[in-house]
Amino acid sequence: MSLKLNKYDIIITIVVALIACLLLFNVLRSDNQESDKIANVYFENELVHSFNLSEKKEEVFEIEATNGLVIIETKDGKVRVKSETSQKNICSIQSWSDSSVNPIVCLPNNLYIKIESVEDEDVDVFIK
Amino acid sequence: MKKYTFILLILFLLVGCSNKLEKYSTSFLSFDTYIELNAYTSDKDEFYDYAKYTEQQFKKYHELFDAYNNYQGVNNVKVINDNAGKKAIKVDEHLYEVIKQAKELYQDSEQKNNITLTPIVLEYKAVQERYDANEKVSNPDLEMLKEKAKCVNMDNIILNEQEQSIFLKKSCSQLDVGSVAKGYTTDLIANELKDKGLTSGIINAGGNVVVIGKKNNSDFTIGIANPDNPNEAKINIKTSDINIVTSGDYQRYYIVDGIKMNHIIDPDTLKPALINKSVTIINNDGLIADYFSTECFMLDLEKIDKLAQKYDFEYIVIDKNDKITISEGLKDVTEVK
Repeated sequence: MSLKLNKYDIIITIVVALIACLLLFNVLRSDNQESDKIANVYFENELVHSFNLSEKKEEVFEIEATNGLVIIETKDGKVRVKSETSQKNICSIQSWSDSSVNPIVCLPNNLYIKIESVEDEDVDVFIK
Repeated sequence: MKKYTFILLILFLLVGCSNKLEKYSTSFLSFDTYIELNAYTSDKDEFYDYAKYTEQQFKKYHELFDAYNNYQGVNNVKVINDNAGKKAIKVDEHLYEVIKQAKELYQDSEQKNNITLTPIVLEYKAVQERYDANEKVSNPDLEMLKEKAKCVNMDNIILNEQEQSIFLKKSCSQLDVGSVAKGYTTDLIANELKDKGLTSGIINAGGNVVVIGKKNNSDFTIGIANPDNPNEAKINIKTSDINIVTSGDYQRYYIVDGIKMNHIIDPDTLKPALINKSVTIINNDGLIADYFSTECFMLDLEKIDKLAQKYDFEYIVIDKNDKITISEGLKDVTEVK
């Protein structure tokens, strides 16, 4: 076997490998940091509106859903159902959400709001 | 020269190893609930295949287990109900399996999760729908419910293994497999996704969760809602490759005279079960987890624990007084907040 590595070869290999790993890690990280947090509104499984929560703007979206009008608003990077036509008002009681594991689901109105984000949450799935 | 080939080889291996799986997510309404698939895959295209397949399969099984709508060419629960007292219906293997297992579990347990309770459940569902549509409501009349309960009996289900058919021997009998089918289906689809190559992810079908593999070599963390504030997690569980099903009193309910009437009806009292606020069952089998989350929602701790020993499941119970009880096998992997 002519393959013999001296200690410099080993050091060079380790240094180059570390640089490669760091570069790869940073590329992934910067990709993620650039990704915005989006609140997507679905009615009857169709995407009907998207809010960019990262812009932290105050916006309102109104939709005539199954039981009547649903008003959705954003503020300070969060989204909520401001009012809805439903006795239990589960969606508006849920109030503000900015978490990808806590969608706002309005079953009687066939509507839900899902937040898309690359940020890590405390839990991977939330059962409620 | 060979020396540098060796160095390059190490570099390639390192880059290969550091190519972590990426997280992707999809969601949709199906099976009368909100369903989400979060999966870790090597690229978007692989994920889209799983996402499309998951939605398509939930739709297919929803049609099969639906007790209230007809679909062309599908012998579903509605077809069995429509033919009650008339004739046996040959059904798909999955529907046969779910009804067979529900009947066997009922006979061997505390006989609370009764899939023939439908005529009673429908009365409560009608009240809940009126409540959701902003109407003033009251509880169903108990005498009327008692009259309807004459049609409620698991012995009315006649199974024919050879024919793979189901017959309801009383014409007023009606099935609703809602308290077992979602757990069975979620587990089934998770296994189908694994067969297609998915190694890491979570399906959450309205409280029926299947955890597939691990997340980049560590356990997934599952949060269980606080029944009094369903927006915050009360208990976190760290686990992998498992089924977790929660039945709670905080999603489907109506309120009469200030009392929250949940959707789980006790067949012995014909009234909503008010003993627990949330029951979570953890097991390798989705149908077992689903069946017992409903059954145990109506039981006290002593009976829950006996069933847990018999069927080898773990549990987390939050009772009506907010007392939290966690089974022995979960104590090291749970955190109460």
